[in-house]
Amino acid sequence: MGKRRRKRAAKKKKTPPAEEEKPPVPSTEEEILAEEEAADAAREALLGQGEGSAAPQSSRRTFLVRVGNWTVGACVLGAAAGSLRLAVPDFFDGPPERFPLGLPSDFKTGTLTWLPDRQLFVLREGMGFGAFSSRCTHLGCTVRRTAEGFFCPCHGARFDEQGSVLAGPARKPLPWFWVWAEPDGRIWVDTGKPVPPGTLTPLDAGD
Amino acid sequence: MKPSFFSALWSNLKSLPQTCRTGLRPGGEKALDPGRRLRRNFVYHLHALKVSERALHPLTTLGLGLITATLFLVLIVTGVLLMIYYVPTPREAYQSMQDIQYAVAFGGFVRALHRWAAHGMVLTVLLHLARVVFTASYRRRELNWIMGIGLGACTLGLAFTGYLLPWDQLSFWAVSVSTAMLDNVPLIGGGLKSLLLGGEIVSAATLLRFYTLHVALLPALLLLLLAFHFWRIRKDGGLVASSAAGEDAETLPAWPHLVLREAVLVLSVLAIVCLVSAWVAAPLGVPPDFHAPGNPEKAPWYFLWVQEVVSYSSVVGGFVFPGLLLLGLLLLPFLERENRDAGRWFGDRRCRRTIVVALAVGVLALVVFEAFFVSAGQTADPLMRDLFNPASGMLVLAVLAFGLGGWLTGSTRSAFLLGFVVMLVAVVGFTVMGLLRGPDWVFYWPWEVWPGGY
Amino acid sequence: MAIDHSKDAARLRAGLLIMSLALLLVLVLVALRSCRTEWRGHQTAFRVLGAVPEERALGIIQFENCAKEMERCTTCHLGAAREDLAKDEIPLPFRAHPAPLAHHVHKRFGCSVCHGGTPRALESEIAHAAPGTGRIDPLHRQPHIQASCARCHVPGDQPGMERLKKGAELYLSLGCAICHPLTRGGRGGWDFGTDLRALGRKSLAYLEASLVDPTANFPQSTMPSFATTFENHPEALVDLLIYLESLVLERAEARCNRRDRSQGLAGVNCTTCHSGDAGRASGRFEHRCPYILEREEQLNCSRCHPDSVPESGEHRGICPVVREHRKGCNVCHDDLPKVEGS
Repeated sequence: MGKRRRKRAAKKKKTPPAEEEKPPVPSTEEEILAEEEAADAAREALLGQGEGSAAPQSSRRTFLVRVGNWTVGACVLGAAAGSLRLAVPDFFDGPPERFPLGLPSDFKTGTLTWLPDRQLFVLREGMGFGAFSSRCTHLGCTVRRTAEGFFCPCHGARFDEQGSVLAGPARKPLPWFWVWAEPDGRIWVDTGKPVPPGTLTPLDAGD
Repeated sequence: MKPSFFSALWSNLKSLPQTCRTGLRPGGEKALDPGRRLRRNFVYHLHALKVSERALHPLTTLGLGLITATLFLVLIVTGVLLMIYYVPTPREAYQSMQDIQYAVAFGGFVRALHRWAAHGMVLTVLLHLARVVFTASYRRRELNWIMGIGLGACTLGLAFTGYLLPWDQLSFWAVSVSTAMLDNVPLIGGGLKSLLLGGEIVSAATLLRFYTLHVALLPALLLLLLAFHFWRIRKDGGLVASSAAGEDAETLPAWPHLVLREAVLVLSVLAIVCLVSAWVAAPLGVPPDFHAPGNPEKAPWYFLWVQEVVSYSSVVGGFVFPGLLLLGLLLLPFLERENRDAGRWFGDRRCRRTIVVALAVGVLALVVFEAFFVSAGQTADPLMRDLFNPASGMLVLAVLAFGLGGWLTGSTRSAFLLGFVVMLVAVVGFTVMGLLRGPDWVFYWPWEVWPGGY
Repeated sequence: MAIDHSKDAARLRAGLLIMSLALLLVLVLVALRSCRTEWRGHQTAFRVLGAVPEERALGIIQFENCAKEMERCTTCHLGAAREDLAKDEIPLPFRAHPAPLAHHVHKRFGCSVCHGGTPRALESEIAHAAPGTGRIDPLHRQPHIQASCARCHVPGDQPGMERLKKGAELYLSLGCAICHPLTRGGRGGWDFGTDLRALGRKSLAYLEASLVDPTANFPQSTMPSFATTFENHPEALVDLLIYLESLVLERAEARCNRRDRSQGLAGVNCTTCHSGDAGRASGRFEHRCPYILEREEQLNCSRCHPDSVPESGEHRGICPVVREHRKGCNVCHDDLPKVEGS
């Protein structure tokens, strides 16, 4: 116990007795400016000195420094790559790609039915069923029916009855999708499977 | 005798008022008045000590950079206040916007401040860019120029992401259509679209991603770039000036001449934006109908030129036109390195004449292209449409003006100014055209009544 | 332009003072405007009326109605549920609501389920308007408020929706259902037989124009004009408009009475539409015949409906296709006679 006290006393004696005298604080604008300018100049001088006076490094030291830099760099890059991968969506909010349209009797023959929730047109000709998108292939607005086919009000794209481009800024025809019937009689569509325009899936006898 | 713990504590407590006073105001006991302390430690840290008279003149820069920064500050403050009530889910976004607009104290005012400051910031950022181009202030400051382009892109990105957040009919369809444009960007377009949308269509995931970008990522990036931008200006020696006028110019201390001017400008901007927000409420549209867009569904004014060009051709509008514009801007300080007339508006007299010529030719060409294109009707072949439309025409004209003008005048600055002015005419012209579009994207003069509608 | 060093600072300080005052003025104006809101004025007036039962702070009053919409109507309409304020001397907006239809208690149903508008708003101009439109919501008052009944009920004989029911009957008897059947997808898209349920809310002016002059809304429309039909029957026009408005209203899903839905139009028999020889258009449909005849290919019933209706046997008098349709009806409408399979 005694030893510690003595050590502490010795340490206390070593601290300087009083603070150094501070330089006078500048009070006028000119003095402030002058002091700042002097500080700037001193800073520049120090920096200039520092760059010139670096001691030459050994090749081992430069190698190790380089390894260190590359390691940190690799960590940063890895983190960035991982963050980007995180942002890529793996699951989707939207409606499923395959869904049932209903029973054949829901659709009158020779008519085109628009399903607004699915952005889909369903065509029935006799016993053949076809489905194509009601989203304009230019930028995704909903097209509307006209005498010649379809028209998109957003930028004036025009399509014929089968969805091929007639005029306007659209470049691709309205996509048609694969339609089939399940054993229970319901018609299904898969919007992930495109088929050639005008494709009608013939269904067996029934309504 | 060694002082005990308690007596040391007691004597420190007794002198607490004094030690507080000196400890919390560093600078010594004989402290300066607060004004001088502020200047010594803060003002002279941010500003150069002395500035030229030219830098103080309002017409030198029009103060556009400072106005932009002030508006950004307004946006941060109002944005944080809005975050207290806004909920970024599809079901609650519109409802929370209604709450802010109608029920929150000062909610409508803060929302209007946010909206008009945003429009103002986009406008002043573009004007600031034009000012830097016209005064050739990019000379020998390539890094800062690239930073500036980055800042402009961040500003537009913030405006774009913020636009979806109200989740009304216009927001939803504007974002659906604009993200669809990304498909035209080669290689990375599809992936970028999927990343932004969080899927294939605008959904709850999209709203959340846009919200994250809008309140966290883009503001942080913008602040970082802004700090760097300001620092670089100081490091590069302040405002660009011609060497002819440089050394002899009279200098004045930054305080009070520059700093007070800045303060007056900042307060004026605040007063004006508050006045506008008090007068004009921010609009809130009808709730979204996911089945079909309104007719017409138009982008905000700063993207209207893109919408117009995209209606001619999605490739030109989504990729070629903005891409070439961006490329030209990025290359500007690297390809234009003349040694004279930096800092002078429009350069010398010959430059000024070329600008007037470019303006006239640009306007004439635009009118001719539009008239011909509109009357030729809607061409069927997509390739013909991509190649022969007013936007492609103006692009070709800009390149021609650049090449031909540069060759005739023998000056790179004139060449770039010509190209820039033609592109500027195109962008402004397409914005005006976009303003005139009505239902079914048909032209209507401002006095004509739109049919149908609600 | 040379700057006068000595005067510059003084001028700048003057400018600073002026701009600070200007900013302060603007902010004070904003604060004042925010304090003098409409609803605060109403609540003060209500207190003056002496109608507040106890001395309590009122403030913004809100609650969630049965359709899960938050509404703030009673912040101004403070007497809506107070029977003691039913007297005529009580000024609007404090007067009690006129006796509501049975079971439509304000505590559960709120206001906007029937009256529409923007229930979250606190300024009357905006609260009474359809969201985002700035125009007064037609559902606000009688008779158009009856369109709201369809949010939960099928148009029927219950009290309070007489005009809605008339509108629904007109929809069938005038033949609207021929081109605009109330099945999903309508008949064929915009040009011919839009699905009226997918239109979204349209203004009364738009709906009226689509009946009286369809090309005004839509230059390419091939819909015939019904101007002559309604020329001397303005009330019938309003009845039909009420029904059309009801088609686009969002169904209030929460706590809806499902049994209620099985009454009403589902009980209307087929002859309302199918009148005349062998189900062909006649009588009231005559002046529209050429239009229908042009589309005979698509409308011709014999494509789907077999020519013969059995006169005897198990399904006597019932069209076999209707029999097929009815199987689906029983899923919701459990009071319809059950039909066995084929």
